[in-house]
Amino acid sequence: MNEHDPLRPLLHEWEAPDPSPALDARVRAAFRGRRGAWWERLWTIRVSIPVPVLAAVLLLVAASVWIERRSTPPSRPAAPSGYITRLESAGFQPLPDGATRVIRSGEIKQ
Amino acid sequence: MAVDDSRLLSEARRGDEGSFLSLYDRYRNPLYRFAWRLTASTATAEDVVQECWVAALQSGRYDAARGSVRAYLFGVARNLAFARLRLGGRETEEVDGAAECDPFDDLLAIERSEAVARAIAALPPLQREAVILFEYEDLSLEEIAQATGIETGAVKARLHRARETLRRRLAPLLAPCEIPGRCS
Repeated sequence: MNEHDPLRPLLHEWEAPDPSPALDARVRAAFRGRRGAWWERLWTIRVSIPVPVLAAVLLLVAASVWIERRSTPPSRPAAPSGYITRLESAGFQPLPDGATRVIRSGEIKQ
Repeated sequence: MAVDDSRLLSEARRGDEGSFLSLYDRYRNPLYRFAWRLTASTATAEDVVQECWVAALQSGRYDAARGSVRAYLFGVARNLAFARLRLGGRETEEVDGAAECDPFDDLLAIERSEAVARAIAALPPLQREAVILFEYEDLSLEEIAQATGIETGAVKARLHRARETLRRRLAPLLAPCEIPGRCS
């Protein structure tokens, strides 16, 4: 790579053209087209996970599901209660016009 | 102070157009010249440059630990250029502007320029890219190694072989000029 090598100046006689302005427009359009809306970009987001990490996570999830299933007792249907409360309104008569009569305990005839 | 290339690239990937345009302006001409010299086609060179930026903007491709953004971009461009050369055979066009210059004063220079272009185009592709990156784009041997994915020693060997071939093919132009007043 000698600086005074006569090959170097000769090689530099071959000049390349500048790119056309159309290229700038194409590249800008490609950039803007790629950007898109934020919700569109959500669909293109990729997350790379090493395979061992992915396998470990899957194992952990499977193990926790299995443990959860084993520790929860099977649910039984609720048993009917021993006390039944009933309220019957048959034969009930409201007091006429709210008139009340006080009866002393001695006056009550059995 | 110029903003670091890798920072511009990461901001551009996040959608910052200003950062993208700054980075694009820095490498617009070098990438185009490289693709043009490699493919000898303006249309292919423009396609390569556009696809190069689209690929570069996809996250997860560039690793700062593995080299500079410059070497990375040239690496992407060379892969795209070689893919196109493999796909379509070797697309060639006349060297731009060569046919438009008639005056005798320019003729010699054009002939010399065309001879250089032909000599470089005739090199094997891997030697050709090494010469173009080293001689025209001023990449260091290490950067060329990063861009092409080979060892620095292999780059040196390719460059040496390419220069020897060029020296042989261009020997008539390297000889002392015999036309008085026509040589600088």
